[in-house]
Amino acid sequence: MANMAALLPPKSDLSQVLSYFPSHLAAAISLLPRELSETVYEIRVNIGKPLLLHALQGEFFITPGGPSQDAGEAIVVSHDDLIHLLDAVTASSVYALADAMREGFLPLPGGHRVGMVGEVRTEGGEVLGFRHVSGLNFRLCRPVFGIGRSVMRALIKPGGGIFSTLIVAPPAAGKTTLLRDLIRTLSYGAPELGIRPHRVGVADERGEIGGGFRGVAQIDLGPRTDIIELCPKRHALKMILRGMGPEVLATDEIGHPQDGEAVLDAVLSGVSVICTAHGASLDELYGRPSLRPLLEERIFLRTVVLSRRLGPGTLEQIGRGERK
Amino acid sequence: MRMVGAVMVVASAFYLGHLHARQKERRVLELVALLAGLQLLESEVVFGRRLFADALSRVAEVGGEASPFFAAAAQSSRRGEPAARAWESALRAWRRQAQLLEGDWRPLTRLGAVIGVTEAEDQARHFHMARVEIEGRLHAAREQLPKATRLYRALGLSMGLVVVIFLY
Repeated sequence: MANMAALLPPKSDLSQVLSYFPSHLAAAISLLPRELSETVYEIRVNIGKPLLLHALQGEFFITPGGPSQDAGEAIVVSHDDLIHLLDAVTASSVYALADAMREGFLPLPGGHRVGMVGEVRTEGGEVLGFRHVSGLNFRLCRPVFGIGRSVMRALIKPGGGIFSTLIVAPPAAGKTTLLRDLIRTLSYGAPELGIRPHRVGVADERGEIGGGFRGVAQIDLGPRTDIIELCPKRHALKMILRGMGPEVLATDEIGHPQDGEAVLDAVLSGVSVICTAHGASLDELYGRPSLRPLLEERIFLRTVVLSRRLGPGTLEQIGRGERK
Repeated sequence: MRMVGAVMVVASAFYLGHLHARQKERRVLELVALLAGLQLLESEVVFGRRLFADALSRVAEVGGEASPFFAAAAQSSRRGEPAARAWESALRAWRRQAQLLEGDWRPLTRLGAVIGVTEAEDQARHFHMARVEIEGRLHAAREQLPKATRLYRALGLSMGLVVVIFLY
């Protein structure tokens, strides 16, 4: 078992995100000591609540004098602060980003994302959009290079290709980070591991794998990687398969029954597929009707289980696609 | 010599009246350009779903009397200024050179407070309200224009003649 996040120092580009903040909030966050600012992965901004950030070292409230563990001293976010932020992250174009906002988040340059909460407008059970946004959660992108190498050796086929692989992990345990690094390693190739460069197709339904901003991936996924983003993965997988001739397909968070069918189609056409799924263990996935057939048919000949036990990216198990 | 002086006085007074008349004519042209600009901006925002700064730039490119306003707003927005502030500062700058009346600015100021920060349907509603108000003001200005321009020019000429009579 290894803590993959510890293999390389993860650094976040906080200044890029702070450019959206009102000056008084940005100034207070800028007082973070360097070792803390480099590991920030979330900043939570909710009207009437203390300004809060999460770093690998823990949770901190932001006071005018810097970080503190005391919520009472923290800067309380005002309505104007939130309006300023919303205006900045949408480039004053809420009307143009309504579709993305309906999904609950907006992509930002640099691969960062901002999640939204508030009062939602619905009709017939469908979400139409936000009537009022009351809170934002800035999730900083921290690409971690090289974490997939410890896993990659177990995924290589004797002939040089790779096995179809399912990465299983609970939220925030590093499955997308690992997926990105596997994609990148395959796309560039890794002669030291005996991996030649591969053509990789990525179905990035939520824009999270490539950190896409206006159609351009903000995170390096390698020179032979084709990405379709913000498209239902069942369509995107087929489109890449037909149009781009990939050797490996990758996608995040499969769960819908039609996702399973698209994965099955890809595997049957001879392409290796790397997917992630939410879950604490393989057994948990057997309980899901959408994933059970894929597991029973042994579509994935390798399974990688991650957890947060020793921090994000704790490698719990690499299996051969069989139930224990 | 006296005759030349009298002619110059009358001509100057007439020119002053003519300038006032031209201001009235320019106001109408500005209102027309503003309406066309708002219509195009609404279409870029509501149907084109273009980012605010890009939408403003498109409108500014079309040209016309209101072009400086849209160009200034686009420039501020591109610099990262919030929409309301970009709009307001562009209005302030245009105000120094435009011939619009106090009441003509009000729908624009109201629109600036909400522009960009709501969904497309709501933006359409605000654009519509602003356009209806400006259309009303344009209609009134057009009706008064022939009378007003004739009046200012005649007034200028008359004032010139009165001054000449008093002097000579």
